[in-house]
Formats: sequence, C-alpha cells, structure tokens
Amino acid sequence: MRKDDKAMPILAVSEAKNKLTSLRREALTGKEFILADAKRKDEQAVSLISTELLDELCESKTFSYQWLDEPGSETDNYSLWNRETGVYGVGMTKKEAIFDFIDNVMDYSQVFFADLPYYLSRSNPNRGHYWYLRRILRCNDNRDMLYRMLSLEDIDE
Amino acid sequence: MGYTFTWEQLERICRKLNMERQGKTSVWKGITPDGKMRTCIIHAKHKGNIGPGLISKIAKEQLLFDSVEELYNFYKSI
Repeated sequence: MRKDDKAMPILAVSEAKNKLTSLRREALTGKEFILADAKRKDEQAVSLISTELLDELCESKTFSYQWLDEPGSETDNYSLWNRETGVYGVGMTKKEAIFDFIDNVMDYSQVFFADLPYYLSRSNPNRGHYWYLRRILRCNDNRDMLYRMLSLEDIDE
Repeated sequence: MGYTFTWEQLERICRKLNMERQGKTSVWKGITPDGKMRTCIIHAKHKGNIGPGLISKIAKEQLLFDSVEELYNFYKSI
C-alpha cells in the first residue's frame, strides 16, 4: 500500500498506525505523509507533517492594526482594530486597548478551535482566520510572546 | 447622521440575531435562519458608548450588516 518511492507517500490508516514512530521520525526531517482512510473514501485526506514547518508557513500571516476611535465627545475610549481577524480592543488608554485586544484575540482563538466545523464551514466568513489564530494558539497563553508575535510594540507608545 | 450604541444595546442585538455568549469569553456567535454565521466580540466590562469607528466595523464585519444605519434600523425594530 505504501509507496516509499514517492516524495509524498499516501498511506492507509492501518499501516500508518503500525509505523507511527518511524513515520514521525521521517516527518521531522520534512517529509509529508498523506493518510487515507480506505473505509471512508469520500473524506478528505489528512497529512502528517512537521509542526515546525507549519509554524514557518504561518509566519507569513502577519497582523496589522488601525486606531478607529479616540476619547472625545462620542466615546471615552480608544478602539484598536486588527484587520486580519476582525478582533478589537477597547480602553481608556492605548495600552489598555492593546491589552484588551490580547484578551479578546485569545478568547476568540479558543472559541474558534473549540468549534472548527462551524468556523471552517465554507459559508462562514471567518474561515480565513484559521492560520492567524493558529499562530495565537502556538504562543500557549504566554502574553509576552503574544505581544511580540502580534507586533504590538509597533503601535504601543 | 451619527448613530450611537451602548454595549448593552449591542448585546441585545446579538441575542436577537440568535447569537450566544461562548462560556465566560468575550465571544458571541450564532446562525440566523437565513444561514448567516456571525461572530462578535463584546467585553462585559466596557461602559458607555461604542466609538463611531468601532461600531461601523462591528456592524459590517462582525454582524454582517451593510451599514450602521441598517444596524440602527434593526435595533429599532426589536
């Protein structure tokens, strides 16, 4: 079943199960294995691939911001908007708004990944947020790491 | 014409759009009978009015209305 000569081998799930340790070792070197379930032919394939390579791929997903409001006659707050995820932060100071944005984007990432069938539905307009939010999750709730990864120092005064 | 919304009014709109708060997070989501899937961020701690720039983004990008005016008319009909 396995075609070892192929650059991107396709394996049956049963075969992959038996060889998982060696497949993982090979995947670490950069090889991608596609797992197919013979019993469920209409389902999409699943890849076994290095996490580091996926992380590298996601690095191109960068975050950009827009200050929408500042305290004045219509509101008491600054509003910070992230263009890529449509998540915002609100606060009486810019710093407060930035920290509020971090809280909100962490919440959104948790909710998004807890209900992937909803968010990855073709009719969900937020489907494209996946790779950005994956970057958030990879920071493991470390706020300092998030602050740097989200490039928030560029807008923090 | 400028339209002003409070955070409480935004919560009311979300409820009417069949959206529910997700646990203790600031995220609300839900599907309306027309199949529109929405997600909105509302932080319970915020007070006062939502800024005009932000309500425009929330109306169009999170709640999928064409304009703040359309959002206002929807709120008035609740």
